[in-house]
Amino acid sequence: MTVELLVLLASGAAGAVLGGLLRLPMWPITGALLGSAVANVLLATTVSMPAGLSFFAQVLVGTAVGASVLPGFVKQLRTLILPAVAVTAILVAAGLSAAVLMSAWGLVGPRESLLGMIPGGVGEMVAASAALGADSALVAGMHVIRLLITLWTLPLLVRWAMSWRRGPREAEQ
Amino acid sequence: MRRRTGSPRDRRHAALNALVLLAGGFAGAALLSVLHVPAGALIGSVLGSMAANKIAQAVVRRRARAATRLPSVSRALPAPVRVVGQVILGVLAGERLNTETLTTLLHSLLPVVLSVVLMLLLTMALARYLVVRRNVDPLTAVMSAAPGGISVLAITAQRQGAVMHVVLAIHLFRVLVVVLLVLPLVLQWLRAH
Repeated sequence: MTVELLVLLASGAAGAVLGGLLRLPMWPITGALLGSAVANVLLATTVSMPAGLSFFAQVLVGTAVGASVLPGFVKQLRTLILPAVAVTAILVAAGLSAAVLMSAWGLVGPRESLLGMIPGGVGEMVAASAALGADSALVAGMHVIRLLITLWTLPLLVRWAMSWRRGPREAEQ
Repeated sequence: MRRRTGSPRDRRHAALNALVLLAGGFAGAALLSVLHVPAGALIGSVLGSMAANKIAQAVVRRRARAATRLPSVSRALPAPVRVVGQVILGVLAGERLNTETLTTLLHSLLPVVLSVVLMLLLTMALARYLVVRRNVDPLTAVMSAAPGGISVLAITAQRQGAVMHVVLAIHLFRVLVVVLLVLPLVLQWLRAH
């Protein structure tokens, strides 16, 4: 049992390293997920993960988020509060709407659809799904799709936005 | 190989700061878990480390009145701490990955893709608002409003020359609002239904 657990953790770590080398988006999660999944299938393990491990991981991710709030953040945010609220409210509302629809159509369970579609950080949402006993692999998969599409289209979106600064005549040409 | 910077004293302070933040995170997580708050470990650790950061800041300020030199270290947590947490979460998710999960993901692929496309169109509307009304440059506006992860977007934004403090502040605000406000509300709703 302990050996199987160690093998899964080692495979996850190896997957994460490989994911980092291959520049996978969110490589610590996606790489480790793929690494441990491969080991799980190949070895047909029957191990159940200790609850403390999930708690430990959630605390590390949560502490990292809290620690990002450095002195001066509130002061900085004061000048950006309106744009920050607008961006957050609109993106979260869009994610929530999509989640409610997907759950209502019976495509995904309510827990997985909500945690998978709210754009609140992959690590944070996967941590929350682990805490709730939801299918964290599905939640991670949904977030990875979002990240991949965002990263792939970003250069196009930036080019589009750059054309706004040019005069209307130049943008037309 | 990355060179370690700072004096031994600064490195000692950095290690101590990391320990203080982790202690705060663990204390907050333990407290909310004991109180049976849903996702208490995650929410508690965010609040706990924020509180520890604030207390450490006050202590340093008080000491600075007596000392002539402040330690030149940031109270940010070393990056490997987050990576270790994410790797463990990845392993936990991978252990649960089965054909049912893959089938569900495949069935929901089109709706997820359509939702993300809709989000990206909204991102462009938000970016347009930032450019026109808030006088933010287009690159920074798109990077701030994009629904990507902080770590991934920060690298791209920095490489392309976006105004980093704006991008980071807006993304961090989004993550904090989701974890500390939206998540508890969603969990409450899930419990009731």
